[in-house]
Amino acid sequence: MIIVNDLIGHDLADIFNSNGHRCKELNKLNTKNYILFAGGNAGVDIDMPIEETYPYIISKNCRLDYYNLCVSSGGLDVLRYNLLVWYKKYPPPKALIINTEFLQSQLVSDPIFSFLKEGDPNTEEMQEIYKAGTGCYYFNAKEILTDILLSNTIQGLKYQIICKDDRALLSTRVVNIINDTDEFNHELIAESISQDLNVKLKKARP
Amino acid sequence: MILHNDFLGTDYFNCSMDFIPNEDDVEKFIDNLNEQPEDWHYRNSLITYQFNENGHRSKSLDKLNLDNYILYVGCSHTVGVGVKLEETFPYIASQYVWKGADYYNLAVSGAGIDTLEYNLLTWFTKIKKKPKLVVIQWPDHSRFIVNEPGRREFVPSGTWTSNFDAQKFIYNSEVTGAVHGRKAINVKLIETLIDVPKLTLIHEGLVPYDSNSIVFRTVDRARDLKHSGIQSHRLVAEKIIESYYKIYKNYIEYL
Repeated sequence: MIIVNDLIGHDLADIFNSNGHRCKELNKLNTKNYILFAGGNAGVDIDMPIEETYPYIISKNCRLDYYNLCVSSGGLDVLRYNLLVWYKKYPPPKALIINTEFLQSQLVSDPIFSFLKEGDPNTEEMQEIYKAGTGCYYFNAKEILTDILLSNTIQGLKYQIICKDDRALLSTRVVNIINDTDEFNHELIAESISQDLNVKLKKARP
Repeated sequence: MILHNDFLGTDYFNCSMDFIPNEDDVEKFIDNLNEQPEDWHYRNSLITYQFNENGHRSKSLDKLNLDNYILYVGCSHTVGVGVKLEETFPYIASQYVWKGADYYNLAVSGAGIDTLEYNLLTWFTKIKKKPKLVVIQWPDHSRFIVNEPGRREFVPSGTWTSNFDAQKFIYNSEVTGAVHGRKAINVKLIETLIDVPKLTLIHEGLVPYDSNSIVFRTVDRARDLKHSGIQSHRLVAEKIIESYYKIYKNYIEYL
């Protein structure tokens, strides 16, 4: 992972912009009229053409620009970090759409923070972190505090996509969209959010 | 710890007490009276802990001079467990860093980087007037807080915890480097969002968070015989004042 413009993104690759995010360059974003996406892999989905991912479809349906802060396996730490930095540095979006996929995911580094990368979820030690962190209620505390911090920071429309076997993160003033199938259905999720968002944006317009 | 007005604070709030259960508690004090020498400083020295509406050892938020204040955040060292308020380093340093500085102490006993970061970011979200200086005392990086679903208490955990899952979490976080991953993000977030002058402190022997922290030592013990004593607090205050002078060129003679 990389940190560019104070934001955490994927290591550079053709499908990502210079911040390591799967969307247009930040300086091309219409910051007066856009939707912000954040979360884990579901919002990145490198196996799908970008035109078939839910951020792209929602943006097209609502005729708004978008920026996609999603980072695969970033977990709660990256979700929280990227959103807090974004709302500090940039004008707020018309709506925020997050997915709460695999919030327990851990990043690893060394004592001098010379790198930052996803912890290998297949190792026994990392599995122990997920299990023990749940068992001693570390993740529960972290999610509650993140919920409060984000609620105090972020005003406006919020949607939360909750994938199968995952939990909600935000508890107030948020529209929950449940994906309860094994496959993540971008089109269905996008349809559901676009419809609601279009109605709400229409009401908000003078 | 409990949430008060969205801040994590001690379980006690809007109250005044002579001892703190499980930290600087009366039973330990009685034992120490029997074991310590006749001239033990704390034998006849009354300590009063006053916790405000947020459970912090600080004046009430509505009495704080928001136009001219220093914000302190950390764990029990910064709370000043075992010493009088006037003997704590936040109190002493604030008298001398610059004239007329008020201060607020956001520190909570048992705090890890998660509690510290949460309180600091909540402060900057809720309190519109920023402090002129933030003093951060980094805690032991293995600490964290837990919350059992349905309960209001947030319980500090660390190497002292007997819970087996907590110990496994700490051990595997060290082995994998996950503790450094979390730390890297905490430090970067504080660096990016807290856009006022900062000084950082760390107790000698702890794994550092940054390369320019002021390292402090415990040279004497507080009433509980565990935390830093009066002289240690004075030394920390002196180091804060000295660093403030070096970095921010604004020095008022320290007595």
